[in-house]
Order: sequence, then C-alpha cells, then structure tokens
Amino acid sequence: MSPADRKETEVRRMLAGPHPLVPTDLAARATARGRRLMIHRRRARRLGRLLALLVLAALVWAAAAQPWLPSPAHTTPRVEGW
Amino acid sequence: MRERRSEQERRHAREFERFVAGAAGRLLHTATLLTGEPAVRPAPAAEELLLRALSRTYADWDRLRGDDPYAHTRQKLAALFTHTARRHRRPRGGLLDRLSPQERLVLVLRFHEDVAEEQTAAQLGLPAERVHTLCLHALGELRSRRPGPAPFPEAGSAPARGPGTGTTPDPAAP
Repeated sequence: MSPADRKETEVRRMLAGPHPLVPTDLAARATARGRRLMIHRRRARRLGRLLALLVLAALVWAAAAQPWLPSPAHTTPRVEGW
Repeated sequence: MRERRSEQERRHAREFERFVAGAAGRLLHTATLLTGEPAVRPAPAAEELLLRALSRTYADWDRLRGDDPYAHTRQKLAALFTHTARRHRRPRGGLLDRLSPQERLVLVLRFHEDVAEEQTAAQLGLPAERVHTLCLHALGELRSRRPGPAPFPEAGSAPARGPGTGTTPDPAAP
C-alpha cells in the first residue's frame, strides 16, 4: 500500500465517523417545501406562457394593422397643372 | 383530471418519503461534514442545506426518469453549498472546520461519497488538476492538524504541507 493510499484510507475512516441523528420530521418538511417549490415553479411557468402569448398576439396585430404607417387621407388632393 | 393529479402526487410523496427514509442518514452526515458542524449535536445549518436540496429533488421527482435520486440530491447539495460557501467559512467545531469550504466539498465528494476525480471536477465546474491539488492540500491539512496520535506511526512519511506544520511537533518524525 503506497503512502498516498494509506493517507486516503485514514481520511476515509475519519470521515466515516459518528453520524448525526436525523430529525423525525425531515421527510415531511422536505415534502412540504418541495410542494411549495413545485407550485411556485408551475405559477412562474404559467406566467411565462401568458406573457409569450401576449407578445405573440401583439406582434400579429402589429403585422396586420401596421400602425406606424400614416393613416390614408380622407380627401383627394387638389388637382393642379391643368 | 384533478383526481388523477392528486393520486399521482400521493404516489410521488410516498416514493419520496421512502427515498428520504433510506438516504437521509448518509446525506445529513455529508451535509454536516460540509458545514463543519460536529456530528454529536444537532446541526441546524446542515439540516437547512439538506432540506433545500431534498425539496428540489421532490420538485424534480417526475423529471428524474431513472436517474438516481441520491446522486441528484448530492449534486443539489454540492451546488447549494457552493452558492452559500461564504456562510460556512467560520469554524463550527466539526471534523473539517479548519479546511476552506471548497476543500471540504472536494474532500467529502472524493473520499466520503467516492465520486471520481473527473466527475467531481465536472460537477463543480473546475479543472481536474485543481480538484487534485485541493484534495492533496486538504489531506495534508487534515492529517497535520489531527488531534491524538496516528493509528499507525510512519517513520518515513513525507511531512504534510501547509503553514501550520511548524507549530505542532510530529511524534512520528525520526
């Protein structure tokens, strides 16, 4: 066994030392938090989808209506040069 | 639809609970080593870290698709610990509390969790050489400052590196 291996084995043994006690309600607390996280993510996803839909609708409207063009004149321009 | 979803959620919760019952002891031990808290007393920082990692595993449960939930939780634990490393710099009386948070993380992943060097490097986003160096340094530091005599005295062992070696006389030195 090389000195490096021996060092590693020794550290492994040190790390395997006494284990802390697991609180009995750990799983229940993790589940409650995880559920909250899921609800939060679901809400964020829905909001994102809604925003994307709104942007798409605005783009379609803009492409169809082209509001940046001047509105067509209602009167014919005066005819000159006869 | 709602009924089916709630049935699925119940199954999901049952599976998760079974997983936690089996893995929580080891995971909490890992978290305690990372935060540098002693194992004999309750470790609030380690518990909080583990709870956050576990809640992410719960939320990702349906997307694991055959992935090991233990490895997933361990990865979350490592990532969360990296993000909050500044909070764990202060010594808390645990086994590894003299190491820097990054050294602790590398040492625990490599030698407690038996993650390969390349995999550790990939998980932490570090070059493999850096992981190797951190590991060597952590090993040296841990051995040089360990209280009590060595279990097997080595006559020809190389002296451990680090600035603290000069202050502690080595009983095994020739």
